This record gives sequence, C-alpha cells and structure tokens, in this order.
Amino acid sequence: MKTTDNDIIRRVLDGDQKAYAELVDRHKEKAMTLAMRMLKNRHEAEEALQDAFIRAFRALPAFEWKSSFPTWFYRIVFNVCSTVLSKRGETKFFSIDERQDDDVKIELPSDDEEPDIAFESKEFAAIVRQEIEVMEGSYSTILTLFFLQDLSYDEIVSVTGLPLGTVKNRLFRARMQLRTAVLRHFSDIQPMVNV
Amino acid sequence: MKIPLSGLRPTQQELMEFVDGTLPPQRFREIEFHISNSTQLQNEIALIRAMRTTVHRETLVAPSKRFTEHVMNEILPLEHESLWMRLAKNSSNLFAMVLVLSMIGIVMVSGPGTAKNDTNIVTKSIDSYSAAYNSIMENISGWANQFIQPAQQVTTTSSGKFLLLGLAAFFLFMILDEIVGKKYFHARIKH
Repeated sequence: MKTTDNDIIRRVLDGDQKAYAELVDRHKEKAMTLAMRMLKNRHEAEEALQDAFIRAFRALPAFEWKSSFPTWFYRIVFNVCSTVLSKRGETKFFSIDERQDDDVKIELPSDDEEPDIAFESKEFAAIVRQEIEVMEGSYSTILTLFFLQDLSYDEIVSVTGLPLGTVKNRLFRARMQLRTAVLRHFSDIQPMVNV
Repeated sequence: MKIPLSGLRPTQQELMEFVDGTLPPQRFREIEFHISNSTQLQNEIALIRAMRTTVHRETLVAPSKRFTEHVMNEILPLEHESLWMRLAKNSSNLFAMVLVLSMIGIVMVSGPGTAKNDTNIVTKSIDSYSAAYNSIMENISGWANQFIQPAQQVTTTSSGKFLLLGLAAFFLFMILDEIVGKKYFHARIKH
C-alpha cells in the first residue's frame, strides 16, 4: 500500500526527519512548475522552492490535517514567490480590479469548421508548452494550479487568496490564449471564436 | 430521452466547464445534447481536452538533480563530525597539519640523543628476560630523553619559540572550532 503524505508527515513529526525527503521528492516537480510559472526564472524559482520546503518543514507541527499537503504547501510556495514578485515591484499579479467576466459569453459561430489538429503530436505539445512559457504569470499560474495540480476553484482561491471571479476569469483567459495559439499555428484552421 | 433545452447555444466558457465537469447538471445535459448534434462542438471539446491533457502531461519543470539533498542539508540538524574527519575533508587544513607535524618530527629527529642502543635490546632480551627488562627500561628513559632534550633546545631558540607558538595557536583554533561548532549546530537544531 502506498504511503500517504499524511503518513510521512506523522513520521516526520514523530522524529523521523529524514522522511521529509520523500515528501520533497513527491512534490518538488509540480511545485517547481508553479514557482517557474510565477517567477519566470529558473534560478529564482528553485531558490524560492527551497525556501518554501524549509518553511513547510518548520511549519509542519501546525499542519492543518483537514487540507491536503499539496494545497497547504502550494500556499507556502505561492506566498514565497509572491514575496519575490513584490520585491521586484510586480504588483499586477495580485491585482483583482480586472474585469470580472467569469460569466463571459462568447458565442460560437454556426459554420462547421473541422479543425485538423493532431492532438497527440509533439508539435501540438510544443505549442502548448511554448505558449505557457510566454504567458503572463498571473494567467499561467492559475492554469498550472488548475490543470497540473488538479486543484478545484475553491482550492485555488485558498492558495492564492484571489476572489473566485478573478480565478475563473484568469483561467478562462489563459485557456483562450492557449487555444488561439494552437489555432494560429495550424494555419489552415480558422478560429471559431475570436478573442 | 427528450431533454428540455433552454435554447441557448453553449458558450466557450461553458464548453470548458463541461470538460472540467463543473457545470450544473441540467446545463451539462443540455450541452451534452448540443455536442452530440454538432461536429464543430465535438472538435472544440476535443481541443479543450487535448490542451488540458497536454498541460498536465507535458509542462512539468524539474528542479536540479540534487535539489532534495540541498533541502535536506538545510533542514536536518547536521551530525557533528569529528574534528579529524573535518580536517580530512578540508585538504588545506590537512596540509597545514601535516606541515606542522613534519616540522615537529624534524626537530625531534635532528635533536641530540637519538638512536640509543636500539640493537642492544634484541641481543639482551635473548640472553635474559630480566636483562631485557632492564634494557627496555633504560631505553624508555633514553627515548623520553629524546623528547625532553630537543624540547629544552626548542624553548631556548627563537625559531623553536615560533614553532611552539604556532602549535599552540593551531590547537587553540581546533579547540575553539570544536566548541563554537557544537554551539552552532545546537542552535540550528533548536531553530
């Protein structure tokens, strides 16, 4: 039976501090991805992540057992990265006074275009990767939390402290940006929706 | 099964929520019906799903290979290694130590009273155990003199005094390092 995160946390709290390495190994890649999306700099992201893991270790006695370790930990990663962004003077990330169009209605046109996109191709994956890398951090972070970390809207709200409307709005815009990039690349495809 | 449709075509946002499974059940069924009757919507759903899968599968960023080790080095209270182990790991300290010991050795060996009757020990011990015992005792006292005499000589010369001063500084450094090192590690453990 696979050891759960909570089992490892109990072992660490019982004095087996080396067990923490297993938690680090389990979550470092997804957390690194989150830090990279926010900071857009590998060196800074790795430093921030290391700091986050150390903070999490020290805060383990205060771990809220009701939430999952990843959600709790991503909040720490988010806060550490937010501090780095604040020092850089980047405040846009935390701005919530953008248009709250979480209920945005973009009607689909009625013409029947059939996209001919090889979804499983390396080309498709490369476009998605590339677009995420150039995407504004405030969007790609939410996208990462939602898709990669599999967090729900409520969990993303809990991690980021952003209002639900802002979270939904940013997620929608991030996806539309991805979609536009994909359709633009496959030039023979006409975008069904212009954004 | 007949589904009461609201008549509204699905929006892009709703199609995304359909894939995410976050739509209200009634609207979900309506959109499901629309999708089943439209190739365009089916393609759109396929695209949304593919983007989701690709983000999930293809965009992980791994930290450096020794990341976990670095984190654990910061976290775990470092086991206090013996001074000799740390000296061995630090080649410059080791070199200094060897240099100092060599200098001591040179002073000892080149001092007066070296190599006294070593060969006699073997001969005498063959003749008689008691004679050998006496001889060994004599040799021990002679061997002790080898240290005492150069030491006396060392304290009387200026270069010898420098050597002693250097040795004293070296051992003081080692003792301080040991004490401060322990305090530092204890502080980290408490922290």
